[in-house]
Amino acid sequence: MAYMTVGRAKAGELEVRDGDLLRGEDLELRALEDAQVILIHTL
Amino acid sequence: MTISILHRDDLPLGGFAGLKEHRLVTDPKLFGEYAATGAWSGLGRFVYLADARFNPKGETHMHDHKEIDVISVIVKGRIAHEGTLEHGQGLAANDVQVQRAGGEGFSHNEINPDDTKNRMIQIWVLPEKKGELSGYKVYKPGPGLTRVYGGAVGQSDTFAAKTVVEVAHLSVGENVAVKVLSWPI
Repeated sequence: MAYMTVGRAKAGELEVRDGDLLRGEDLELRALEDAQVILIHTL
Repeated sequence: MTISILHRDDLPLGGFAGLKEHRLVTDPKLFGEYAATGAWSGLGRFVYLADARFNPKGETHMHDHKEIDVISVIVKGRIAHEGTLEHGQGLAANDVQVQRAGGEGFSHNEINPDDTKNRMIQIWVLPEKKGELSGYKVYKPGPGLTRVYGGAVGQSDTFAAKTVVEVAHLSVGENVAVKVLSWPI
């Protein structure tokens, strides 16, 4: 899971932004502007 | 890559004491029938995520935690921390505070010392073992990826756990990836 707290990013074909909580088994985010993201996963 | 998205601003705004917040994760493992409307379940032992804004000079007032790990990410403004762990600790934007309540528990108050609203994300993770000692750590994540919670037993950089929390600061064009290897713990 990932929670965007600052900025915007691209997750696959989706644009996500501050305030979006994402759930997916393989998340990859590319920042569209300076961004802060909290990542939560399991080992 | 299949992704589900929960938008904070689609959820009701709640709060208590001196703050307003959106509760995005209220896992039934902890909240049972009191899970927030529209909120998601967590992952692993991650059970709670709230995006809070304290009123100017707002505070939570002193309250207790037991058998929970509490991770606070300061996004904007400052927090003054009072309580049984590291009383007087000041936290600024980008700082991350991690408190392990353990079996002995802790009491604390979180205060916005300023005349403007701040913003703090709070995450709760259930401990894997009950009865641990309480503990306290502060992180100041820089550029890139910083682990602030979880990892192998025996290291002291973070509280050991199979549920991991990391903070990424990305510049334009930079990537970060997370692969979930297993779900329930």
